[in-house]
Amino acid sequence: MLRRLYAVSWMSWLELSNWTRPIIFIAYIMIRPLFTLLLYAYIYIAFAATSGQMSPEAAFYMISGISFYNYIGSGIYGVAWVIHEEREHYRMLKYNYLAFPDLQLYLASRGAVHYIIGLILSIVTFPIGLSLVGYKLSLLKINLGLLVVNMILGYLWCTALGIIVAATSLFSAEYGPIISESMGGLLFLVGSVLFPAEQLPGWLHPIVNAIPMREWMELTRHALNVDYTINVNGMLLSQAMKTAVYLAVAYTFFKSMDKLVRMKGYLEATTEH
Amino acid sequence: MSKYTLLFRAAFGRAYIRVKGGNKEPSWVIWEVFLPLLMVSSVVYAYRMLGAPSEYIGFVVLGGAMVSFWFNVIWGMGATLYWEKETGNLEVFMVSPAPLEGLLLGMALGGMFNTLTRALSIVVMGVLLFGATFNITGLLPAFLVFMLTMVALYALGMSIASIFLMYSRSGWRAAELLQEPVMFLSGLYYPVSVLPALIQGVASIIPLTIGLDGIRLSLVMGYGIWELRHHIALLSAMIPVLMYLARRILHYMEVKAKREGRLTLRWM
Repeated sequence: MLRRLYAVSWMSWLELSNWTRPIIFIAYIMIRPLFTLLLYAYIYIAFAATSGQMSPEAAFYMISGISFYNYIGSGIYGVAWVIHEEREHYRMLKYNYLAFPDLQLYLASRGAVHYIIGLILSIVTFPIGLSLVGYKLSLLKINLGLLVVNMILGYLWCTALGIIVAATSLFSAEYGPIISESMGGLLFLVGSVLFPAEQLPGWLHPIVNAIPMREWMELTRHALNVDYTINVNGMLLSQAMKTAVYLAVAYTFFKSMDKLVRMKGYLEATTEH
Repeated sequence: MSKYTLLFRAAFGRAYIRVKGGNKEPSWVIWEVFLPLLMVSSVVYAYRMLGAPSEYIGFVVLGGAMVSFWFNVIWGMGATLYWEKETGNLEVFMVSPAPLEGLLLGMALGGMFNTLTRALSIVVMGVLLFGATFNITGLLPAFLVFMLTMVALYALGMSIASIFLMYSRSGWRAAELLQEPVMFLSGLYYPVSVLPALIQGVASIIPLTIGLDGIRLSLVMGYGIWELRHHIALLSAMIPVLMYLARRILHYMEVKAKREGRLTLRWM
C-alpha cells in the first residue's frame, strides 16, 4: 500500500510540475501565495497608515490566518479538483480507476503533495508577512508538538471534506469546480482566517460550528505563539471529534456515490467543461 | 463581403454565443457572484475588526466588482483559445474565413456584457448586505472611466489570448500568475496610494489600477470629470498602444503557432 501511495503522490507531483523547469515551477508556486499575502497584509497596512493606529495583535491574527490558510486551501483544492481534472481535462479517470481501484485512497494520495506544498508556503509566507506588518519575530513562542498534531488533524478532516466534495463532483462536470472553489471560499470566510468567526451573522454560526476550520486556525495561532490564549484542550477535543465524524461520513458517502456513479456510467462521461 | 463586414459579423456571432451560453445555466450566480462575495465579505469583516471607517466598505465592494472583469479577461478571453484548441474548435475557426480578431472582439463584447451583470450583482449585494454607500453624482465620470478601462483591459486580453494560443499549458500557468499580482497591484481592497511609490509606478501601467482608482474616487469620494482628468488621459493613451500591441502579438503568435504545428496540438 505504501508503494501505491508513493507512486500516486509522485505522479501527482509530476503532473503539477513537469510542464517547466524546477526553478520556474518554484517561482510559480511561490508567486501566488506571496501576492495573496501582500494583498491581505496591505489591508492592515492601509488601515494603519490612514488611521495611525497600530495593533500588533490584529497584525498577527491576519498574517497567521492568511499564511496558514495556504495549507488548507492548497490541500482541499488538491483533493477535490482531481475528479474534474482527470475526467474532463485529461480523460484519465477510467484508466486510473482500473489501475488503482480504491478511489478514496487515490484522492488522499493525490492531495498529499498539495498539503506539503501548502505547508512549505505557509512556513515561507508567515515570517515575510509578519516582517511586512512590523511584528517582531522574537515575540513568537512556538509549540512545535501542538503544531505538528494540528497539521495532522488538519490533513485528516480537510482530506475527508475534499473526498465529500469529490464524491459530489462525480455527478457533475460543470458544478464540480464550483463546489470545490466554493468550499475553499467558505472555509476562508467561516474559518477565522482574517477575522474572528464570531463576527459573522448568527445564521452562519451553525456552519462555523459544523466545520473544524475555526478550531484548526485558532490552534495554529496558539501553536505559533503560546501567548495567543485560547481553550487549547477544548478546541483540540472538538477538532478531533469532528475529524472522526468527517472521516466516517466521507468514507460512507464516497462508497455509496462511487457505487451509484458506476451504475450510471458517469466515470467515462465528459462534457467539454 | 468587405473585410470589416466579415469582422463585425464574426464578432456578433461569437458574442451571441457567449451571452447566450453564459446565461443559459444559472450556475453563474454561484461562480461569479457568490464566490467573489465570499472574498469581499471576508475583507469587509476584516476592516470591521480593525475598526476602519465605512468608506472602506464601498472601496472593497467596488474592488470585488471590478476584479470580475480582470478574471473575465484572463479566463473568458485569454484561456478561451486554449480551450477551443483542446476541444477541436480552433481548427474550424482557422479554416473559416472569419478573422481571428473578429472572434476575439466577439469574445470581448460578450464577456464584457456578461461580466457587467455579475459586477452589478456584486455591487447590489454589497449595498444590501454591508450597507455600502456611493455618491450618485459621481455616476457620469465613473461611467466614462469605466468604459475607457474596459476597452484598454480587453485589448490587453487579446494579447493574453495569443499567448495561450502558442504556449497552452504553460500559458495557462502564466495566466494564473496574472491573478494575485494584478489584484495586489490594482489595489483591489485598499487605496493604491498606500503602496510604495515604485510599486505605484509599476501598478499604473495596468488599466485596472487606473480604472478602479478613478471609479472609486468618483463613486466614493465624489470626484468630477475635471478632477479625474489624469485618469482619463492615461487610459485614453493606453488604448491605442494596447490595441496595436494586441494586433501585432496575435499575428506573430498565429504565424508561429502555424509554423510549429501547435494549433492542433492538445493536452500539452
